[in-house]
Amino acid sequence: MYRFDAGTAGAAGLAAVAALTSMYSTPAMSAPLDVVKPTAKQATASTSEQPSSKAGDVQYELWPDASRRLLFLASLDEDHDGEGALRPSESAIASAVLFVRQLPYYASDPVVGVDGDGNAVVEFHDVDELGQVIFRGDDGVEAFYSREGLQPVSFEGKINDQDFAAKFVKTFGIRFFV
Amino acid sequence: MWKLVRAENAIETMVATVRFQEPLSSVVTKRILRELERVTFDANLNNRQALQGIQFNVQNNVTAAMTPVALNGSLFQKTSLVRINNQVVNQLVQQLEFQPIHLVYTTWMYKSWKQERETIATLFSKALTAAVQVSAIGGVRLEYVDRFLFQVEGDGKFSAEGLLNKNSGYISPQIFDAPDLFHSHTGRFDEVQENFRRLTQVNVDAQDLVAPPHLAGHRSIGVTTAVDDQYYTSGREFDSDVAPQEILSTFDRLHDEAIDLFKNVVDKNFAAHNGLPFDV
Repeated sequence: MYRFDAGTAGAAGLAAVAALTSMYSTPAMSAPLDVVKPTAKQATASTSEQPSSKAGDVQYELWPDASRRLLFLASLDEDHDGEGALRPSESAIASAVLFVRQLPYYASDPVVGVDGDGNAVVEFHDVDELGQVIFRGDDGVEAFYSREGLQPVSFEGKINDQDFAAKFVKTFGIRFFV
Repeated sequence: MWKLVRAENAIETMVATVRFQEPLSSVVTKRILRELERVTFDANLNNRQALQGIQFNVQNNVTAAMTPVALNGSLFQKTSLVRINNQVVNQLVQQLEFQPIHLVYTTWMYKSWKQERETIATLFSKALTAAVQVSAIGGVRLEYVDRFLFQVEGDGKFSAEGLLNKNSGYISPQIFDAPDLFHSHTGRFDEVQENFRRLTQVNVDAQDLVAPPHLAGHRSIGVTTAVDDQYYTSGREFDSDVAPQEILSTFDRLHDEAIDLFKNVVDKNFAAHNGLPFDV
């Protein structure tokens, strides 16, 4: 089961979130019990519409809420869902954060979460398509893509696997780590 | 004496353009960019660039500054290693440009229309299918630039005679006895209807080339022939199922028109001796 809601976090988790948040220089988070929007659409509509109009501008992030959300989820403890979920893997979360931060402006708005095995999950929803990328703690990555009128596709590999990256761009229409 | 700019043919570039009647929304633009990532990867146009322009800031009729600006568009490019004068250089050979107002394919390695139309079909189809669902098509244009290099012989006199057709109605007669460089540009609309007209353009430019490096210093004549179907009042609507095929058929017609134009402006004997199209 994937976790896309805010849930609860212990004091140790909160400290970890604060440390991670500071490390990535993102603004201070709201209280952990606040609902964090799963998509960044509202908060970042102006930035994700198109790139900066100034050439040479470095645009660090188009969906900051999504990566902030992942960093928050890194603080969850074991059994955070009450059903025996594993603690989210730090390396899986780190990979997912890097992935979200390098997404081009024409990607669909990412929805992020963690699953019961401690993996980080990034999903893309468009009118007639669903894409899902699962980052595992061992640098493994799984992808699933479904689109109306086409056979669903799933494949897996390693984060630095060129074959996986080639399949990914041909399937999702965005590059897997530029 | 004149020679072709390339061993295979005289075509320096071919540009195929589909214009949208209205700028596409950001949602459709993003969807099309994802489609283009898919198709350009398979076609090896996997060097992606953000589109940039230059903004001139003019105050009191004085150009104060030139500022680079990012445009809302992307280039997908293919480069290829080519041997030029015993040097191997990485040269841009194909490019797809997408902006919310148009889709443009350019090739610098034209081999045959059959190959190019296949490439256009591959690169354009999915984008057009998505675009025509939200916008009419404003125009379809096919443009060729043929280039000929002058090689000094005999008295070394530079002249378009023997290369271009003196009797072509598309070329100004004053260029044939011009003492130095010249331009002859012309264009007109034909087949004018309520929502359609066809622009035909022939631009002849005699130039001393400064680029690319291996051609710098050459005196040359570039002949631009373009045929442009314009659906100029409200655009032409296409059913998304048939849009790619119909637009490809339009390109076929424009290609035939462009060949007729080329035959009209290039000297028949020169064409026959250099393997270029000509009417017997």
